[in-house]
Amino acid sequence: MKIELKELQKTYKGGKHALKNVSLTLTSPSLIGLVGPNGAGKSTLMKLLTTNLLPSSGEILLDGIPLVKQEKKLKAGLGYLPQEFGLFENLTTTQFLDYMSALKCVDERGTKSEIDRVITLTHLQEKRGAKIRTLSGGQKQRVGIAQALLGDPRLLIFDEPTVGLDPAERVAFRKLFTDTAKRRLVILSTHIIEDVQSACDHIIILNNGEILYTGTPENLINEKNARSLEEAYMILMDGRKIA
Amino acid sequence: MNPLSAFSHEVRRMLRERLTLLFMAVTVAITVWFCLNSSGTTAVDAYILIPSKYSAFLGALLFTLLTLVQFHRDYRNNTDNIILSYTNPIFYHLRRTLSLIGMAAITTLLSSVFTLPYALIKTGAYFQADTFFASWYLIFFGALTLSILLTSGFYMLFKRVEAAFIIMIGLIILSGLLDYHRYDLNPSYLLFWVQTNAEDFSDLVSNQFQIDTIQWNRLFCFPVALGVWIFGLSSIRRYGHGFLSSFIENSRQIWPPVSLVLTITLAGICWSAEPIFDNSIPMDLYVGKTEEVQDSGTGLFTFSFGDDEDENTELLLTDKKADVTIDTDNRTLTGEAVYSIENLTGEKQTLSLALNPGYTIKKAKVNGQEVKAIRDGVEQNNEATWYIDIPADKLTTVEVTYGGHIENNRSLSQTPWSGICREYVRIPRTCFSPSTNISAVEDLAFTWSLRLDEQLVPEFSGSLVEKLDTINGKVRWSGTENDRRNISLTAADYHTKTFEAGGLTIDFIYFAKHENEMANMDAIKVMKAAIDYFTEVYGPLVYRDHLAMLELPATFSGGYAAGNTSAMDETHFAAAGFLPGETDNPDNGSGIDTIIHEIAHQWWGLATFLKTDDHSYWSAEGVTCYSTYRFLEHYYGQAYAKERFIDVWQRNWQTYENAFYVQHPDYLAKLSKSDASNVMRNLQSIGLYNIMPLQILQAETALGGSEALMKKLSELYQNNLFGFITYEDFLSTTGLTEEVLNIAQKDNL
Amino acid sequence: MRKKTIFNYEFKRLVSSREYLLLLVTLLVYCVSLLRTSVIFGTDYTAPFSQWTFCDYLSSVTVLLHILLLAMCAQQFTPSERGMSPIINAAPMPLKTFKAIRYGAIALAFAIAVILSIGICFVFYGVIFDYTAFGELILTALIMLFPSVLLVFGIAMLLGEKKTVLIYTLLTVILITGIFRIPLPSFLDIIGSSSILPLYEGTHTFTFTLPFIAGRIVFIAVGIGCIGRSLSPAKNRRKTRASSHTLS
Repeated sequence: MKIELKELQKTYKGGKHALKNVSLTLTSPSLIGLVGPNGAGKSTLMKLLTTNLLPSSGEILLDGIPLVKQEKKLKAGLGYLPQEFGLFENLTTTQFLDYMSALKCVDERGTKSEIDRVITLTHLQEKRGAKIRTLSGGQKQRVGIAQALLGDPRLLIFDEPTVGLDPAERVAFRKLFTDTAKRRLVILSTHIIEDVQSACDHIIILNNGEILYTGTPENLINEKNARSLEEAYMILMDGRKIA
Repeated sequence: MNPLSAFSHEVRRMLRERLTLLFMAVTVAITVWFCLNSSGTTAVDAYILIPSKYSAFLGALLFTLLTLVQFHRDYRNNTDNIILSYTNPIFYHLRRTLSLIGMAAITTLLSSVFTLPYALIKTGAYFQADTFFASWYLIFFGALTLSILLTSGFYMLFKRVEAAFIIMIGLIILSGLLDYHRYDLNPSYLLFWVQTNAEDFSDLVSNQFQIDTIQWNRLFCFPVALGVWIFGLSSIRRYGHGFLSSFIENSRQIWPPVSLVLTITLAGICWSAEPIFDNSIPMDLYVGKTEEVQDSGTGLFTFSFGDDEDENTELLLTDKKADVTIDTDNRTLTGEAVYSIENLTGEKQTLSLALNPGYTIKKAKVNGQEVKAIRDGVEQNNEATWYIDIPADKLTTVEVTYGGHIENNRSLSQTPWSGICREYVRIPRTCFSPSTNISAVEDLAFTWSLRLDEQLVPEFSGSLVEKLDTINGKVRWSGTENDRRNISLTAADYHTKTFEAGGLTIDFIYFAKHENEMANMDAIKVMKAAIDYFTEVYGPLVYRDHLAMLELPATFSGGYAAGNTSAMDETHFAAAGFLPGETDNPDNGSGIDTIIHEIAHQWWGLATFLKTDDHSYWSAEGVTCYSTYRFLEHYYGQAYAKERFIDVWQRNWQTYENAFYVQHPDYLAKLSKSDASNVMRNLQSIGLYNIMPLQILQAETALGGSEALMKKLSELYQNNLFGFITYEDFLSTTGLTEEVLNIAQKDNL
Repeated sequence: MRKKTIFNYEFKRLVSSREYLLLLVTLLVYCVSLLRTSVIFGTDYTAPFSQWTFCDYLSSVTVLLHILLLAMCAQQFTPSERGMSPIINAAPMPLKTFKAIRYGAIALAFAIAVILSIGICFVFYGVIFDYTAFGELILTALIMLFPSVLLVFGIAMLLGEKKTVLIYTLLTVILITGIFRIPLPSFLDIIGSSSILPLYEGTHTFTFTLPFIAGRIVFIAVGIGCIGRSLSPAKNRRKTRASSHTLS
């Protein structure tokens, strides 16, 4: 799979430029980290990739064809976890995943095993029969991740997926994302540098709607002569006026 | 931050919110709209009471929504965890509730900026400050406050906006439905929590009796609402607990459970100790018995007296005296009654005395010895029965000291017609002195005296009275009755115009406030003409030498005829231009028909007693309706009378003929007894007021014209003075048969 | 696509919600109360099972039915429902299809309430009066209820897209109209109270007036239009509303 963003712009009502001339190429398999401060445009980019929003100008190509013309094809192989999301509080975890399976057109015969698979992956075995409203914040986050994994999609987009998870869970999910990215394109939007450093093989740093850096974490560290990715990131942010 | 400061903070916050201001503005706009668009039978009704009641409904709805918005905002914005970490949730919600009540108070005050001057201008001389206050502050502001307490209570209890909303909508609708069913279900006035059951306020006399019901209604509803609120407050979820654990946790502070118990107790006391109505057993108004109450539909109850089956013939009343004092400050009646009794058996007996249930017998003496009077627990017909043991002596004197506040008959209606206040007194027969069921000597003389404030002019139905003296601002009246029946009286600031008609002296007694209007009206002329006409065609009223035409407050919503009195409420004297300074009449046609109708009842229903039966619609109403039609045809012309009577009768008769249960009486058998009774009562009403008059018109045709019929009716009247007249009597007098009068087989007249 | 699964879940979520159950119970209690205190006597002295009485009954019940419907519509636009929309939008099922399934679930849940309230009436007729000729009454019910329900539903779903509070505003307006029996012109009468002509006007054959029928036709047209509009996504831009994070 190859996703190309060509001079993508997104301006909201009121004149806020969320993205300015963003051009990128994303290919699978890979785990791409999208990093930036709050308000950088990460979520906007996610929403454009999932066709929740349309760009003000520019285009997105999926395997060479404009995304808007193959929305269905994209969604058939998409797993998406937005930054802010809701769940059906009065369903149980299993019921909710069953519902999402139906929505994602997972084959009926394989639904049960698919639900079992994602529940195992997200460590929700003990909560499979619990009503969602009884789950903690972290558990609900895991349900969100689980629904994204349903159907074994070839494109996974996670917007701040580890919010609310404890450190052990974050480590586990990083491993999950890494494993998943071996055969798929996984885009991980986060402002937690450790998530990116240990798992991603490619990072994109956004600020004020513009790409400041795209490449591997190691390259960034080397470029900035930093000791860690976090330090390199801070140097990049501080010197952001320098091209 | 001290509590007062925190409270004022909350008030200021709320006042800064646009949504709050919007709700308040819409509520105020609604009150203005209703003031400008309501109608009523009196000026006070149209410009004060009805707007306040309708505004109460919408205001309750809007403030329910506002309360939900305010209480839910923290949860909606997810700020509850933060806020409730810094403050005690109980006091937090208390401040919020009080602030909302403050918004309601501000809304009411803002409304008053329009409603008060509007009421002053529109009602003019009829403006009553206590009525205005009761309407806008007790009813309207009360409804807003109650809705705030109930809504917030249910919200805190269920923690769900939807649940609280649905419950409140249900309660508001219930209050409205009670109004809709007030006559068939007769629900307690305490349950009308939004709008109260007050209606038909008078322009001319104090509305204190109804204001009492409003006050007591709020006295009951407020602790109920407060109880719900406290219960909700005590249920605020704490420490992650569920309902029960949170309730227990919150109850550790003593004041929530104590307040809850106090409010529930207070509500219970208010319910059971409610002083305006008694606990009379419901009375069946279904027509079909000999001695019964007939409902005229205009509020007239015609009592036809038959033999008293319960009369105690073992005791004989030889003399009765009563001295009664009415205290308008304390709104009580006290009296001392003395009974001279002959014991015909030579054995101990029990004397039963019937008193208004609001009274007590404070002291009882038999032959000078103090004895105990024991009260029966059952109340019926607005009477409670007391029992006093009588010795075997041949002659016994029983003295009772009694008195108290008058209670109205709950089984008839939840509108208080009787009572005592500074401006108006109405004492029905059950309230003047204790009545007894023992037989009486033929020439019994019941001598009584009454002390009454001098500014109140009394009207004693059917009694000859004498004004004795005036001492300390109280006038002493006295009179004598020739039988054991009690007297009734109405007293107010009345003026009297006396005129001669039908060989009688007619006292037209009307409220002093009506003086100017009566001077301009045609009412006296019409009444004189009616009495002269009925006297001429039927014969004179011979049982008294004078007749009283009495004006009643609008509350009566109709009239009555009793003794030598024909009474009708003030709305019957309204005509275009009646209201001071205004040419627009809020909601009235001429009431002249009802005035004449009540006058006609003097001949048919009082001087003679038309006995109903199971196989016809014969009653005083039919002949009275016919008589009214005849007079108004004579006075205003045929076109007027046809439009207002014959056409209406025929239309209603058609409705009756086509009525389902008339066409298919077999379906009545499928209903329960009470449902069938209700159906028949509705149809009966058409029969009494429309079919019977048409049948009498049929008789007119059969006899060759109205003159012939009137002669027969005159014969019937004069041959049966003070006696019963049956349908068979009518048929035999006219020489007609039931088949001839069966209008179903005849063409319309 | 597993539409049936989604439909089942949507339907289950609706009918198992407290609001639905509470309103349904209230509706049924109200129906029974109406039957016992009003229908049994017949409207304007007609039979309890006459068209007049039945229309009177329906117009009384319609207010609560509309409230039930609007409550279900409002449930579609709660914060957690709006929070689900990015996930649902990202699914392969076309949004139109998904919404249609949802509308179908609402329709079925609503139909249950309608069938129960009319069914209770028919049972009442059958038990008390041995009356079983329900055919005409069913047609009357359809004319009375279906157009106004379509209109209210369509408007509610359009309003809900903008703001949930607008649905509650519509609910309040209908409630006030019903409680105060505000007389509406026949062609605007969503409650249906103007369908009952006074019998003393001379007619004894029940019929809906022309303005009433015309109004019903307009309701259907506008209702279908609004529903169609609500099913279509916005042309040039999709918005995902910011929802409060539901994680505690």
